[in-house]
Amino acid sequence: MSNFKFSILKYCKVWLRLGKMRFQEYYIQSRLHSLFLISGKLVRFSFFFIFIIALLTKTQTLAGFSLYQTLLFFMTFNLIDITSQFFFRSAYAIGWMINKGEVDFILTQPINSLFRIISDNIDFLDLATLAPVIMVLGLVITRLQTPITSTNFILYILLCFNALLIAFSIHVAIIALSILTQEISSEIWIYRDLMTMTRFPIDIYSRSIQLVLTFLVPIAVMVSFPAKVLLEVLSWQWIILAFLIGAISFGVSIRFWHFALRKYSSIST
Amino acid sequence: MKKYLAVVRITFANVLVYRWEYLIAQFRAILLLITLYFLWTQVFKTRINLFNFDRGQIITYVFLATILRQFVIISATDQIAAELQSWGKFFSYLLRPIGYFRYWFTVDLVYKFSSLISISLIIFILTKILNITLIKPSDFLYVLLFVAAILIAILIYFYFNILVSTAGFWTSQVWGLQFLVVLILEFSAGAYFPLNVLPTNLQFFIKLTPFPYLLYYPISIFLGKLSYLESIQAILIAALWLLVIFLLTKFVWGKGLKAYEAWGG
Repeated sequence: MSNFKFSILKYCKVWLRLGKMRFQEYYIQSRLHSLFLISGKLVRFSFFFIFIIALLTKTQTLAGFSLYQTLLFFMTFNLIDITSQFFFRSAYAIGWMINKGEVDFILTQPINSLFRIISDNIDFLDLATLAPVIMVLGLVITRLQTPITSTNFILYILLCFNALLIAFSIHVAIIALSILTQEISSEIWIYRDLMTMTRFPIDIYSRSIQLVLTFLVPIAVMVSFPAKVLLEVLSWQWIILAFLIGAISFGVSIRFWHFALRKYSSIST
Repeated sequence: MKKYLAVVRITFANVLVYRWEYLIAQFRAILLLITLYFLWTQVFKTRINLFNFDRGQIITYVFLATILRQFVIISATDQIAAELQSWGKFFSYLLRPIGYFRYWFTVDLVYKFSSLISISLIIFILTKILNITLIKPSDFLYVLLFVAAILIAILIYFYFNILVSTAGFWTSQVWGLQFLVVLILEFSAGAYFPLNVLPTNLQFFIKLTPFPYLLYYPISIFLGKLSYLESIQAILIAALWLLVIFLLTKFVWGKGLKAYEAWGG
């Protein structure tokens, strides 16, 4: 038990140390750069927010959802998207890490390699955008016409954690694929664009696209399911399936990571 | 001319080397298009007209915006900022018997046309699968006005992008600025939705900038949303913006060259 505690403490320390290093890099050495990046993210968020309000003010509903319900989908998308970027941004740099020999260096360190790779680039810049997103999300939830029960709220939080588990699995799969193919990975950008499809309720898409986004790349499970559970329009069978998809994604991605690691050979100079 | 043909050959070879990245870029554009197509289809299920657009017009708008986004708002000139900061790479161009801006414009044209061909092909297949009929201009004069508006839009974007990149003469932290500018530019150009959707005050403010002349006005001309007179007026204002941005870019570029220090190997 004490070994386990020590291990957790060690990993927390490493994570914080890596975070501090990136914080110095982003905020202290490149203040102007950080300011522009944060502004850009807030601009993108604001434009889509204004667009949804302008559209729904005219149409009243979108696929049966009211303005605040549609905003709940949009805000949940932002919450999951920004949080997963905060924790798993290293997946974007995996090609660079392989080519520059960073992966070789990490493999020699006395720490879990996957943890070390995925924590290499903790982006505190995302926290600057996460704070306003959480505030607006809270505001949207208070304006919903649907009464929010404590059970629904707890399920919403649990499904958000489940979404992060799926996001983790997708990022691990992309890292493993890059390790396997030893190429600069562009798959992460496809995931990012697929993710943006859930800015709006999944119900706007055709049945076949909904199926793909639920079972093949479970983006809908990550964003639409938590929002729907809060709106009381998700049955318990779908809730169980969501957690099942989360667990399966996690198991498969970890197995894939171990498989990729066994096949890894250094290509760095 | 031969020199620039060589640039065309090299750039095209580069496109082919990174063909997987290239295909992914096209696929990403399609994902956005799919989102917008289903969003507007859903919106127009229960109404005939919204924001002064009918279903056919709005669907044509999003398809055309996707094609033009891959043609007008695509440029390699954002690399200039990085080259200004990277080990004397920019200095090597000054020694070559080639015009710097002409070199980048030639590179841009290769990217633009290869992108235009592939995105048009993908969209043609998509329209067949989804059984969509896109609206065509009502007469040939609108086609000519549309082409003129697009040519000016390409030049505006080319010089504007160089203008942003000139920040690289003074700071190494240009990437964040480029990210912010591209986001503002894409929204203000109408790349995601027609500007008519936005509140009147915001529309007014955005229309005071050169950005709507990149996509929104050319598409409005194509769809016949503007009369001949309004179309010509929009093209003239765009030409004026081009002149302003061109002169500003030349001025800032000149200042930058004086400040440039060719450090590195």
